[in-house]
Amino acid sequence: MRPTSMSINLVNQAEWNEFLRTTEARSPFHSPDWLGVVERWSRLRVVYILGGSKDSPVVGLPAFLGRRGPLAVFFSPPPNFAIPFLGPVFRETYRLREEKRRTALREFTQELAMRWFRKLWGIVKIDSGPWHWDLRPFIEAGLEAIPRYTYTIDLSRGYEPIAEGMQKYLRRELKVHSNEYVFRVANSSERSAVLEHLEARYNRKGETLKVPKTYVDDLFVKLPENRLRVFVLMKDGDFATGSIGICYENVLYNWLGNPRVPPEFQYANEVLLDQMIRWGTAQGYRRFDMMGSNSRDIAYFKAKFNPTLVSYSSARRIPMPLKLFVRLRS
Amino acid sequence: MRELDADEWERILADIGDFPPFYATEWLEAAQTHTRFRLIRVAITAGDEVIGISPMFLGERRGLRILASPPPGAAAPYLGPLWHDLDGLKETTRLSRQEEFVHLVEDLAKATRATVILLRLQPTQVDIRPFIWRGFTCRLRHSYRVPLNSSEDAILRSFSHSVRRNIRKAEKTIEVHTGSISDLDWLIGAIDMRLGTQRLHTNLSRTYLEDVLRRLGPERAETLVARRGSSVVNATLDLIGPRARYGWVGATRPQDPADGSTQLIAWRGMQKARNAGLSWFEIIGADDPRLASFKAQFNPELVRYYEVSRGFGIGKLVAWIRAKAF
Repeated sequence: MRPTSMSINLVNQAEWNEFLRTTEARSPFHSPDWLGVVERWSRLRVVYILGGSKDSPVVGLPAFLGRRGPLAVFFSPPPNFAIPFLGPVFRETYRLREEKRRTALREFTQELAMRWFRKLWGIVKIDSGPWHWDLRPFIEAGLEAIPRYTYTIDLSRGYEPIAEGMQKYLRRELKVHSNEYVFRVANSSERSAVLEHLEARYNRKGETLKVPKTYVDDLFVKLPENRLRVFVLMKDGDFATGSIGICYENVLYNWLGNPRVPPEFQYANEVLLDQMIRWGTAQGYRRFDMMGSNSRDIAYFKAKFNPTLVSYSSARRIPMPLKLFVRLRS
Repeated sequence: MRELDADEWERILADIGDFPPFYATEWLEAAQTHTRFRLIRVAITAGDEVIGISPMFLGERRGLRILASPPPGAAAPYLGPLWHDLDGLKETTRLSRQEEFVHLVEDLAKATRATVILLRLQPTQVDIRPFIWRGFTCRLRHSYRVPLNSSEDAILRSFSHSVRRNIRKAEKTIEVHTGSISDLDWLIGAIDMRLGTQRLHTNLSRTYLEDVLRRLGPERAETLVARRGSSVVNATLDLIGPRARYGWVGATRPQDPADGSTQLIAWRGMQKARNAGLSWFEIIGADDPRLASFKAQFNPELVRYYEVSRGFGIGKLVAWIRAKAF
C-alpha cells in the first residue's frame, strides 16, 4: 500500500512495541523500556510517532520533546544518555522499493517539519542507525547531515579467525598480558565500579561524565534480566577495568566503560575487549558492536582488532547564534 | 607525493582495473582543457610502492586558488583517490593510509598556495574521519545505481508501473540508436533549454562533450538518440567504465513529457550495459528532490558520497559557506 498523503499518529508504548515487531531494524534503544527510563531522567517527554495509515503504519520515530534552557528541543535520542543512534525505523516490507520508501520518508519528514521542526526555535537532532541511509528529506527540511561511525566484528566466524585478523603486536601483547588478569561477567551491582572508574577518568581530563548514574541504575531495574551485563577485569584482586555491555537479539554491544587505565594495568582494555569477543562468540552472538569510532584516539585503539567500519548519520539543526557561541568557545 | 606522467598513470590504472570512467586519462585531459584547471596526477605511495592515485586539479575561480578533484564545471559527480585494494588491508593500515592521503593533499595545497581544497570522494570512500579530524567540513551527496545482475525481465519488473507503461508506450513510436558527434548540438540545445526554464545555467559546451566523445572513443562513451520518425526527441551521452555504465549528461525532460523518451533512453542504456556484462547503471545524481523522485521509479540503490572542503585565509570562509549552503 502506498500512502498518498501521510498521516502522523502519536501512539502509546504498547502500540509502539507492536510496530517495532514489524520493522526492518531494531536496536536495544528503540524499546519502550529503555526509552521510558530516558524519559524519566531527561526531563523530556517521549513521543512515539508513527507515519502511514492508523491501521498500517510504515515508518516510526521515537522522539523526545521539551526545553533545554531557553531552547525548545526535538531529540532522537537526547544527548548525554549514551545512546549513539535512534532515529526512524521502517516497516520491513517498505525497504523493498526505493520509490515507495523515499515517498514515505519524504512525506513523513514533511509532516514532522510542519508539526515540529518549523515551529520550534531550538535544536533538532536525529541520530539515525546504520540501517537508515537516506537523510535527504531531513536535509530538505533544513537539517545538516553529519557522518558518524562505529566498528563491528562478525562473531559468527568464531574466535580464531577474528584473532588472526588482529594486529600482530596486539596478538603478542594479549598473549603476554592475558594471564595477568582475571575476566568475569560480574554481578549487576558491580556496575558502580565501572561507572566510578569512568567518572574518575573524565575528572582526570577535567571533564564530567554526563551520563547520569541513576539512569544506568534504573536501566538495570527496568530492562529484562541480562539485557545489560557487567564485564570486569581484575588484577591481583583489584579492579583494572570494566564495561557494561548490552545483549540484544544476536548482538553484543560494548556500551559504557573501557576507561583509560593507569600504567600498572597496561593493556587491560585490550584484554577486556578480547575477552568480551571470546565470551560473545561462545554465547552465540553474531556481532560485536564496539560502539563508536569517531574520535581519532578511540578509532586507532579499536582498529587494532581489525573490525569492520560501519557508518551512520546524524541530522541536526542548531540555531545560528548558538552555533557561533559554541564555535567561539571552542 | 609524486607526480605521475600519463604513461605511468595508465599503467597503474590498468593494475587497479576497477574505476569510474572519470579516471581515464582521456577524460581527465578533456576536463583539464575545458575547465582550465591544471591536472596533477598524484601517486599515493608507501615507501617505494604506489598504493593509490588521485587526479588533482589546480586553478582559479573568483579570485580563489582552488585545489579540487573533480574540477568545478566538469560535470563529474566524484573523483578523489583511487586505491589499490584498500578493502584487503587491515583496518589500522587502511585508516592510517587514508589519514596520510589527507596530509598529502594539505601539503600539495601548501606547495601550490591553494586557498581552498574541494574534493568529492567516490562512494567507496565511506570513511571521511581523517578529513573531519583535520578540520574539513563535509557535505553528504547521493547518487542512484540500478543493479544489473538479474534478468532483463526482472529488472524491468522492478521499475514502477508508470515507468514500464511509459517504456511500452514509447517503444511503439520511438527508436533509440547510437548517435554521432553531430547529435551533440541537439543534446546541448536541449540541456540549455531545460535549464533555461529553471533559470539555471551550465558550463557544459558542445566542444567539451565532443572532446570527451572523441578522446574516449565508442567503447567508453556513447550518445544514444531517441527519434520519432526523423525528429530527435531525446538524447543522452553515457560513459562506460570497466564495471558500470553512467548516464552522464542529457536524457532531459522532453517537449512532450508524456512521450516516455526519457524512460526509454535510460532503459536502452541499461540493456546495453547488462548485455556488455556490466554490474550496474548509474543514474548520476539523486540530491535534487524532483529529479530524485523521477529516478527512484527505476528502483535503484541509493549510494552516498561525500564532498569535503577546507579553506585557508579567505578560502576558509568560502569553504564554510559552501558546506552550509544546502
